[in-house]
Amino acid sequence: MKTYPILLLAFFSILSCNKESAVIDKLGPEVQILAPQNQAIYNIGDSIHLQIQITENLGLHGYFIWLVEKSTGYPHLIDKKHLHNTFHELELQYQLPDVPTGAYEILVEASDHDNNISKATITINIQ
Amino acid sequence: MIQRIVVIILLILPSVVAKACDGCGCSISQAYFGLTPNTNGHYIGIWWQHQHYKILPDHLFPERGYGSDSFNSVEIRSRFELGNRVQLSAILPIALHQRQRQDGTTPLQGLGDAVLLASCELFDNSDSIQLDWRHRLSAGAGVKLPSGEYRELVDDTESNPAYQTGSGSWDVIFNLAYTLRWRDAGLHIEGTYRHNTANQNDYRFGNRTDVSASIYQLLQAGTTQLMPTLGLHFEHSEWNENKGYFLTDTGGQALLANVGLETYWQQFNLGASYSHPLQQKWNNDWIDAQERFSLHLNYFF
Repeated sequence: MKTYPILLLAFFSILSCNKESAVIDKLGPEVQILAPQNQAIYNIGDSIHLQIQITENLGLHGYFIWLVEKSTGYPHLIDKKHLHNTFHELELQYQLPDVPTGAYEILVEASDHDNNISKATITINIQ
Repeated sequence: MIQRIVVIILLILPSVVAKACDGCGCSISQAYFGLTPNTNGHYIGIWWQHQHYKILPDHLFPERGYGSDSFNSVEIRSRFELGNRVQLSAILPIALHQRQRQDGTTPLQGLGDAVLLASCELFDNSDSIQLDWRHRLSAGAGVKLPSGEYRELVDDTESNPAYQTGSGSWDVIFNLAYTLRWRDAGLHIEGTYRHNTANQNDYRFGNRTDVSASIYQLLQAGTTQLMPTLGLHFEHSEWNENKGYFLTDTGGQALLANVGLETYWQQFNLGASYSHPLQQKWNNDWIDAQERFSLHLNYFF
């Protein structure tokens, strides 16, 4: 019976051996739109060169890239992808659809697996 | 003497874990030891366990469709009695997993994480033939060794770190088992808690708790003894951690109903069990646990 206090001591010493408690990740991905430049001007039918970098501390869940009509808020999907990288760089050529002239927003939304969502936008003008 | 051995084993455990806390360590092999009603004697056996999980479509990327993960393990299990009150159990698993996604099937095979457990009988009058009501209570402690392979995730790979043959960590296991027997019927309750440590990649699987309760009835059929079982199994896993952050789309819990049959003939025990999930919430409902099967053949000596 003398062994039981020793066993209890061993039990609690094992449980007490733990690293500092973890925290919930509240940091969303970092999104940078490198191209096109803000306020760039395009003609209908032009092809836009997009260059985007996304960094995430634990790993991405995915991204969506939209072309959004500023006057109506109507979105056109440019690209989306599911991935797990901690760093992702994409370059793509996007053929402008048949849309009315005016101001548009290029919106990049990236999310991680803890439902942290980050956005980056630039404005382009279509004439 | 035997008590001294148990004390020495349990005193060694903290030092093993202390090393693990400094930088290595973890676990994914099952912590459930199963019902072994022949509580006395050495045995060696071969076990096969199958678990299947359906991966539900991603709400953001539904075009990826369903997937599935099948976890199969063939285990060499043995138990040795060190005197009347102490038992030493060992499990050596071989993983035969299979992952299915839209882009194909990925098999994964290899040595899994071995488990060593020392159990001490705290109370036992189960061999008293004069009593109608008999009890047995035992407590155990052990370690899960990082004998399986843990591969660090690289960019653009699937994010399920549980799809490995090992966790890469040293984990500590505590087990408490109680058996109540009335004539030829019985109730077996077992709880297992696994305290996981972080592995070399600073990935730590969530601590895991398993509790099961089964009722059984011993039936004699000639020289063969049959033992049908019926029970419930509850399992809970905390969030995994990666580099100091909780992974909030991991962990969860499930309640399963079990039905099984054990047969004893001479020194052999052949058993099978089937589990069906009654209620579950795993990985924020991203995965759906399916049925589980188990088959084992033990030889007592």
